[in-house]
Amino acid sequence: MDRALRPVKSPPLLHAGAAALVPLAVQAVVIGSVGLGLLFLALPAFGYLPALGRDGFDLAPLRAALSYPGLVTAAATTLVSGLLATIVALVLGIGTIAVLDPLGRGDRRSGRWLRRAMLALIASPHVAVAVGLAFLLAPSGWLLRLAAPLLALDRPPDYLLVNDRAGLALALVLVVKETPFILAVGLGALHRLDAEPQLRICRSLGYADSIAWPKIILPQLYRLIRLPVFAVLAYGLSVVDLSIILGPSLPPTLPVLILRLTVDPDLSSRMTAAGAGLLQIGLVAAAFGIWCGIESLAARMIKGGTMSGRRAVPAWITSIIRRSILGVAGIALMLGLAAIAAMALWSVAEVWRFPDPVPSAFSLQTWDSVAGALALPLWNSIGLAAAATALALATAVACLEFEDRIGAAAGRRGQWILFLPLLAPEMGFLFGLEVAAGRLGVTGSAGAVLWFHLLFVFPYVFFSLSEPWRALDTRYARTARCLGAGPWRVLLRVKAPLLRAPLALGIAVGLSVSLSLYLPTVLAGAGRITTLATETVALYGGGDRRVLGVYAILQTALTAAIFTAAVLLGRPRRFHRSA
Amino acid sequence: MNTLEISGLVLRLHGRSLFGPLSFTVTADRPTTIMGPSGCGKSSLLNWLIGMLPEAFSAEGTARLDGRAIDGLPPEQRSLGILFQDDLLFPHLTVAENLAFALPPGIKGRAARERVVARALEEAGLAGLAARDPATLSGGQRARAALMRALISAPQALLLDEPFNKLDSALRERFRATVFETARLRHLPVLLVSHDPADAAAAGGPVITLDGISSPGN
Repeated sequence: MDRALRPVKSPPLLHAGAAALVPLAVQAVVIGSVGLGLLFLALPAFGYLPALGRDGFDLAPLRAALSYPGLVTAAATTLVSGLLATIVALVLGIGTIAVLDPLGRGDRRSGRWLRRAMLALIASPHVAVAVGLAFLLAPSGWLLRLAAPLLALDRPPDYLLVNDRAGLALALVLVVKETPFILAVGLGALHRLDAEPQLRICRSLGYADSIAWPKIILPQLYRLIRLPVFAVLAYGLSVVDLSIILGPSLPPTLPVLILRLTVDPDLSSRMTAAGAGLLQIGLVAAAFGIWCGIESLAARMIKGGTMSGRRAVPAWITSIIRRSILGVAGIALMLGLAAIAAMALWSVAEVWRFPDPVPSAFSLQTWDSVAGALALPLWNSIGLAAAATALALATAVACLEFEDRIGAAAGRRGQWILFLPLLAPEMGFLFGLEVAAGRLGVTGSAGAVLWFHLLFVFPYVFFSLSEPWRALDTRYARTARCLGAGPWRVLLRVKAPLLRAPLALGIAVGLSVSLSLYLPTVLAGAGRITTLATETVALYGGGDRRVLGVYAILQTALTAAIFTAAVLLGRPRRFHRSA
Repeated sequence: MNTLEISGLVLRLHGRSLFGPLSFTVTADRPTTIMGPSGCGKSSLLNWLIGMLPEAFSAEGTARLDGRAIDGLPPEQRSLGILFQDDLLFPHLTVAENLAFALPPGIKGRAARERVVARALEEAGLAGLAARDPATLSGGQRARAALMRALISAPQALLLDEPFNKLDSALRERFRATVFETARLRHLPVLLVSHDPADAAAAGGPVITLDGISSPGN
């Protein structure tokens, strides 16, 4: 932190003012929050919990956690499903780019609809997609209803596709949600790489595009998306809400097991939970290590391929690879879209007996009956999302504006810190942060929930805004200053309108991230602040598909509306053609 | 008589001296050209003058405009107009709005401001294009709009960062003549940065050559 305390040297001509403090303050809050979380996790994990009269240090909680029934299985399942989902999502996301849009230009008609549908899937909230997939895949789910006539079924079969012990259903929903994310991040990175001239040179050296792309473009592309990939891995290993809905139940995944121990009324369970939280951090660290191993293995393979000088692969091999990538990605996409359709159908179903492919009677009765209970979580969700996004946006703009006024190097210093909350195991540091919030006496307050939300909303808003902001031609601002406009006028009248599209997108991303947050809301809100996301997970136990359908479809509609509005508002100004 | 006076200017990149100390005075009847290969620091000289030197650079020296020290002032208070290689008309504003943005706030009232803008457009031969999207203008129209936008902000000197470079040759000569003629009529000192000897010839004033080591002009 000594770097943070050193005064920033500012050129005397630029009035940095208070803006200089913003990036440092943001980094301090992020480091402080994550650090506080880890500290208050580590203390009880090593036996220090004065509330229980334990003021020494020992390894009892760790031992208790390790011998807790099912914990080792839970850890193993978590590791396998998280790694599996990340690998598949990465291969599918990057593979789809390679097949449909290798230059990152979005100009091939063939791929346009697939990419659009994929990007639409990013917008749909995690919990909603998970609930929809459960509706789809359950023994009495839509998929089997559609297949029932073929299989001559008249009652739900006895099989376990959802909540399976190996965590495959959990891995599936992660793949369905993360593939579009990798796709979007990858396309953004590819855009910056300017792949076309490089591929042209490869062609002139006799390389077919199908082999030049993995040899030359892929390694550069991966380097640019490495951080988001690690975030996907950390998310898959720490996710709670999706795991409650689709993951195994006896034992559940490690994060869910920790959450159950955390909310156990028996206080001594908290120490076991802390011990397990520490193991969770170890698990994520181990997974990162394994991932680095996979990376270096893949790098060595690609390097060997590069040195071999091979110019082409047989057409039938590329054709098989292309088809399988598109096929599997297509299935993942269809499952995601069908999940949304299933929720919509259930929310308006009045009578839907088992083998029927569609409900035999429709009504809006469920919507009517749920409307009352829905209002509070709905307004809580919207209020939280609006507040978190407004704060995150203002902070991100302040950081980037500071960068313009003081200099890029000073602004970018320590930027990776902003990513910390996305890389640290959620169930680990949020557990500790909740303990810390309890010490401060703010647990269950709107402020605490907002704080927890901001940790996740801010990095997404910042990173969706920072690239376009930095790419803006600085001479516009220079010209405006020379025309007599002060820095504030330049910000409001020149930069903001020129950055209209990314600003609108950043707002939409912020809102949708906040709307989808489950664990931060539950822990900081202590169950007292309910949102659509927490209510959906809570209602899932009850199993009323119609009610769940309403909650899930409402969330999806909300996010869809937000992104549609962002696209419309982000359009450039239309001028009158008249002279 | 308007004068732009630079004295003892040393420009450094990462602590390494690019040129200087450099001292010269630009008057309205002697448009001055700075020439030199790319990387010699000629564009950075202009960036220093307008008060927006990138962080990798450092500079010492003073700049006076009509006897008033301007180094140390924020860019918007320096009364320097600048034209770049690209016209940099704000793409989200109409042609008239681009000019109105530059018009000093001292001229009050919507009607009065619109009148001044309309007169300026007419002077630049752009009458009737007020409500147009700048992107729909021809290259020559855009260049004239950019010049008029700089002039309407009432600068006391005009800086030119290779503004003729990207124009095709017929247009280049015409626009070059327009710029110098306009500046002469308004008694504006002009400081031009270029690597094209034809620009220097058109300017007709002293030429300072920066060759990467240092060579004070006149």
